[in-house]
Amino acid sequence: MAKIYLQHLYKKYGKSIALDGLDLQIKDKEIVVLLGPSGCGKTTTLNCIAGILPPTSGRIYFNDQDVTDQPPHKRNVAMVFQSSLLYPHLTARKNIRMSLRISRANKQDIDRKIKDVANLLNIHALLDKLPYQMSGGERQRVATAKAIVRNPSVFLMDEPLASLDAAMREELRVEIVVLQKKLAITMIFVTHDQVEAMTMGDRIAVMQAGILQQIGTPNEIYNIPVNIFVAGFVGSPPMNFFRGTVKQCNKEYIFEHSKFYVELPKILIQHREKSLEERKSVILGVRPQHLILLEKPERGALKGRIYTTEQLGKETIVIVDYEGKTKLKVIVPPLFKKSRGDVIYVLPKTEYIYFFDPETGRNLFFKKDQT
Amino acid sequence: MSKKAIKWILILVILLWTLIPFYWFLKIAFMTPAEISVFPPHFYPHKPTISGFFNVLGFSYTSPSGEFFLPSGQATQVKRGLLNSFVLASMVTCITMIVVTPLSYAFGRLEFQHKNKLLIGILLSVALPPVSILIPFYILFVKVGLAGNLIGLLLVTLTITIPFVSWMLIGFFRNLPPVERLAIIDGYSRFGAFIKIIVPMSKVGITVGAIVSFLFAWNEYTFAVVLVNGTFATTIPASISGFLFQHPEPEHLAASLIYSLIPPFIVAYFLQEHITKMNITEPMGG
Repeated sequence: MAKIYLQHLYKKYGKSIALDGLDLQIKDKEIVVLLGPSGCGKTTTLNCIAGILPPTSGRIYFNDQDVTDQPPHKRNVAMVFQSSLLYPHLTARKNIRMSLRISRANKQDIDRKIKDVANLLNIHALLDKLPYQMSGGERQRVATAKAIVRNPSVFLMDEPLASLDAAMREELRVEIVVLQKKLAITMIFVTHDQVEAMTMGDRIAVMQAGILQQIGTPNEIYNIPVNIFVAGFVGSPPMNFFRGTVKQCNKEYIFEHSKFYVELPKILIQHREKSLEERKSVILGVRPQHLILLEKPERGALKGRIYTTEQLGKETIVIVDYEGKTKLKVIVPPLFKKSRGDVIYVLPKTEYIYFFDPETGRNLFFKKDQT
Repeated sequence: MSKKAIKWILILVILLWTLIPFYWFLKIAFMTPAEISVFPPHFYPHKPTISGFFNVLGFSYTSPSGEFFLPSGQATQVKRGLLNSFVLASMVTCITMIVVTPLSYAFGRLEFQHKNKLLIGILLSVALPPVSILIPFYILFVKVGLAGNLIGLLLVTLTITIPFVSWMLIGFFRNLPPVERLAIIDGYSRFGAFIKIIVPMSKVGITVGAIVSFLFAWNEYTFAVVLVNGTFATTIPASISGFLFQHPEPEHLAASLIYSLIPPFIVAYFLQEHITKMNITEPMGG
C-alpha cells in the first residue's frame, strides 16, 4: 500500500523534453488514470515511477520515502506493459513465476501463490500455454496475474487494453477496477482512450507536452476543464469552439461572433473576470449536447447547413457547416428528420458555455464552482 | 502454357541443375577405374564397389571377387582435411556466435554513439568480395608465420562469418518484443536479462546463425587453397582439389566428396526445423 508523490519530475531524451516539471500526488488505494495524446509523457511518467527510466531531475516518493535511486524490484512495483507484454518463450506459469524469483520464497509457497492468483483471475486453463497460443484478452489476464502475484504496493498499467477489440476492452476494464478495489492497491493506469479514463479512474490526470494540465475526478475533468486543451480532449464528440468578443450594452453582456451572438446569463456575469469585456477576443466553448437545433431563424442564432448526420442509435450527431468550411457537431435525439444540405439554425444553451483565453487557453471561469 | 506448367518446368530445370552433378559423382564413387573409362559411360555402376571409400582413408581394399585396390596417394591429405575442417568449422561456429550474439543484440536494440557508422562498417565488410583481401592476407600471414596454419585460416574465416551472421541477426534481435523492461521489473540487471532471457528467447535465430557459420567454414575454398593447401593444416575442400593435379583417381575424388558432404547433411537434417522457423521480421510469431 502506498501513496506516491512526484516532485517536479523532469525528463529529457536527447534534445526533446518528455516531462517538463511534473508534480503529481497519488493517494493510497486510488486509481489515477494518466490521460493524454501520444507523446504527452504519460508512459515516461509511468516508467519513472517504475524505476525503468531515471528522471533527469526531480524526486519520486513512495509513502514519503525517496525511491528515486532505487531499482524497480526494490520499489515493489508491478507493471503491465503495452499489449500485455509477456516473455514469449515461456508458459503462463513460468511467466508468473518470474515475478517471484527475487522474493526468495520456497517452492511450495510459490506454487500456492500462483494457484491463488490463477483462481483470482480464472486462468487455470492457460497456465501451461505459451503467450502466442492465447487470445489478446487471455494474455491480458495472464499479464495482470504476473503483475499482482508479487503483492505489489503500486500497480502500473501502460495501455494494457489498447490492442484488444472493443467488447473485450469493455469487459476487462470492469474486471481491472473490481480487482483493484478488491486488492486495495494503488494503481496508475495510462491510456489515450478517454472512455477508459472516465470509466476507470478515481481521478484523471490529463497531460500534454510533458505537463500536467489538470487532475481531478472524471466529473471535474468533464465539467470544469481547467483550459481549452482539457475541454477539447475530453468528451466525444469534442467541444465546439467559437472565437469572438464580449461586449456590454444596456447592462447586458453579449458574446459576439461573426455569425451569431448570445447573451451571457447572470451567473456568469456575477463571477466573471473583470477583464472579460475588455479582452480583444475570447473563445467560447460549448459541448455538442448543449447546442439546440432550430428550423426557423431566431434572434442571434447561427445559420448553417447540415453537412452530414451520424446515427448512433441512442442519439444522432449532426455535423453542421457554416462559413463554407467550418464545422460544428450537435447531438440531437435519434429521430432527426432533416437531411444533408438543409438549412438549420444553432443556438447554445447559455448555462453550459465556457470561456477560454485565446492566448493561454485558460478557462476564464475556472475558479467558479460550476458543478 | 499455363502458369502451373511453367512453374513445374522451372522446378524441374533447377532440380536437374543441382542433382545431375550430384548423381554423376555418386555414380563414379561406386565404380572401378576401369568402368569409369568405358565409353559410352554407364549410367549406373554395373559392378558397384566401395573400394574408393576405403582407399581415400588410406586403406587397401580387396573386393569379394578378389580384385585388389591400393590406397589413394591423397589419403593423408583427405584424412587431415576432414579432421581440420571439422575442428575449424566448430571453432569458427563457437567464436562467431560468442561474438555475434552480443554484437547484433547491441546493434539491434541499444542506442549508442556512432551506431549507424559502425553498422555501415559491418555491412560493408559483408559486401567486400573475399578475393580482394586474399593477397594482402597472404602476404601478411607469410610475414607473421600464419600461412599454412589453421589459426591463420580461422582468423580469415572469422572476418567473413562475423559480419555476415551479424547482418542476419541484427534484424532478428530488433524485432523481438521489448521484454527487457519486463526483465528489469523482475529484478534482472541488463546483462542478466540478456543472458537469462534474450539468449533463450533467441534460440532459433542463434541456431540458424551457427549453422550458417558452420557451413561457411566447412565449405570455404578460396582462402584454404591459398593459405593451407598441401600442408598439415589443409581443410577438406583444399585437399579434394589436390586430386586435380596428379594421376587421375576420379573414384577417390568422388568418394572424398561424399565424405565431405556428411557433416553438412547431418547439421541440416537435425536443424531443418529451426531453419524453417526462422522469421526475421517476427521472431516470436507462432
